[in-house]
Amino acid sequence: MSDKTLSIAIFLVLIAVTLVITSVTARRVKTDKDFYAAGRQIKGWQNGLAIAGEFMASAAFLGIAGLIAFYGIDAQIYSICWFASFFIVLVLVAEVIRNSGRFTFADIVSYRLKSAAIRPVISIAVLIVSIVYLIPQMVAAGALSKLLFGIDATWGILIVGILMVLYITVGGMVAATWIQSIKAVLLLSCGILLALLTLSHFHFSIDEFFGAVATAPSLAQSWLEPGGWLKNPLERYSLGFGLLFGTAAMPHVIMRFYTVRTKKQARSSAMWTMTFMGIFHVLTFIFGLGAAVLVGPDIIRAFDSGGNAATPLLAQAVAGGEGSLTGALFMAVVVAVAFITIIAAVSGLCIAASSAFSYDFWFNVVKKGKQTPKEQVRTARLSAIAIGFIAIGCALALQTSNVAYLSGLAFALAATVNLPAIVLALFWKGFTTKGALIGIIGGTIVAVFSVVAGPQVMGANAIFPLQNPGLITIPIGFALTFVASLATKDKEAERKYQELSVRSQSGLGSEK
Amino acid sequence: MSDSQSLDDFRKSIDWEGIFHSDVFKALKRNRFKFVVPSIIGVSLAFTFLWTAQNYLPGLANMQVIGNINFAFLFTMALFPLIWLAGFAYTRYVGAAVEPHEQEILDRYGMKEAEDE
Repeated sequence: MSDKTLSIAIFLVLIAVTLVITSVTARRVKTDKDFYAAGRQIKGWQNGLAIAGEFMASAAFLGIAGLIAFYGIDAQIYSICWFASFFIVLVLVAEVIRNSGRFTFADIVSYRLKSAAIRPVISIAVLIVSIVYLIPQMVAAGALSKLLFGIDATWGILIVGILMVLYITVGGMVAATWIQSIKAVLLLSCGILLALLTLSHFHFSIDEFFGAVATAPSLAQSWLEPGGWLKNPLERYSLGFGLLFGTAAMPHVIMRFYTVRTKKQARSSAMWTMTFMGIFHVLTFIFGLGAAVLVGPDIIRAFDSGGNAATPLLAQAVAGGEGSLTGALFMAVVVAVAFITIIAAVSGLCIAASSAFSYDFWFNVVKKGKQTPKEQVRTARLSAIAIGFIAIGCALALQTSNVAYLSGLAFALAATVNLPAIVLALFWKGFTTKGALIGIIGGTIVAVFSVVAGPQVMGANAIFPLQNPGLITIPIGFALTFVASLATKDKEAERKYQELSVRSQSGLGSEK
Repeated sequence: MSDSQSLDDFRKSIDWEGIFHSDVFKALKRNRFKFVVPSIIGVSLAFTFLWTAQNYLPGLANMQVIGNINFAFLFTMALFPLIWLAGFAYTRYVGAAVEPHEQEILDRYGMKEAEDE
């Protein structure tokens, strides 16, 4: 059996398992609460596992390792910041969001403000953030499909896109949670095994491992030192703060806190997320540096210029090498799990994006809250299909980019556009509808401009100096919202602050 | 009567302004923020220190502490358990210093939370 046949066989088995799960869970999707929030029946530990699964996706498993293999330890910033971002989520938003809303963060903001004005704007902002984060996941699928099937990246993107739409339209949040949980367990197991096998080449000594990196022919001591990838010092602060605070504003993360029954379980979700993510992300430097030493940057680059093939090639190298059955088997498992990882991650994002349209915009604004639960589920399914096609189109257009970089952009966008609205709605009495509108619209324009006019798009002619815009755009997002709120008055928003504050802090009124 | 109507009626029956200005709610907020604000500042400062060392203090960042392992790497790896412990401490702190106040407010309106796992 060839390597590719083996990969395909393992992949098909995993797909079959997920399809069975989806068909079983589909029976539980009858109302909007089932579709968007899994009927609020998810336990804290499982929600934590599912959220951790979102952050052990392609960017973590493939993108970070690739960047470390090519440029050294700098890309570890993704691992530590994503992990630490859940501390911010835990103390700042997990519980208060669970206490305050129904399905999306727009519930919280629009509760205090004029709903008809604010919901359409938020839904567009959420759609932009979700799709920008969807793209790198699907791009990774394209890169993987070369290894998995030996087919063009375009087909990989199409397969992931179609499966994502299938899972979500049939199984909603219940299916997404189960698939994400199972995938997280598989990925954790694969990651731990891969790290152990890699370290076994160095007698389980980190010192010896680092010594091998420093003396390898195509590498150098600089692989272990900062500055190989983040050459502009400001980029480090900008990317770091964007990742650290952006998670608390990612729509697909916020949505997950509505799937649990109590505020205690919301806290427990965040703690379990930190536990599972910590176990995985503490290992990513081993994947990257291991691939650099045992495979070599040039060989990785020959497979994929974005570096996304580093982890699968490392798996092959540590389990017996090219041509060996064990090497082929482990690489096949890693590639198949990574592919499932991507499908699970995009499914969660697809629900967040579809809820922005079907729940925030269509149900609350166009239908003014008058749709039966069955009609709401139908709209949600149709919007998931539409978003699937949009994401496929965007991913096909950007398939040569490194996935970790694009993920960073999504976090900066979320931190610039969504975070000020969430934080100020929950914690500031003076927040007004006009302030929110100006902050969200202005923040979106600034964030998108900073990307389009930045070095990644315009190269040497860039107008905006940073590839990772968070350092400049996040304060601008807050300042726009704050100043515009100060300049306007909103008596109703001020009155409702008291109710939202009590509800979010104590849980009173979150349920009967 | 649907669940959402029933919940709306329940919310309308609550004296939000009264609770907002009550001592128990003020204590709840004060106790929560006593942990939240310093911890967020602490985490931000720890990262700012790390990134500043990596950017501008190569002598410190690249100083080899154990064999080939340098200070910046060790500091980064130490943040994993330290931040996890801070999160764990927060959950314990909320249980001891915030939840009793929450419960007092919930009891006032006879609201019972769903059973935890």
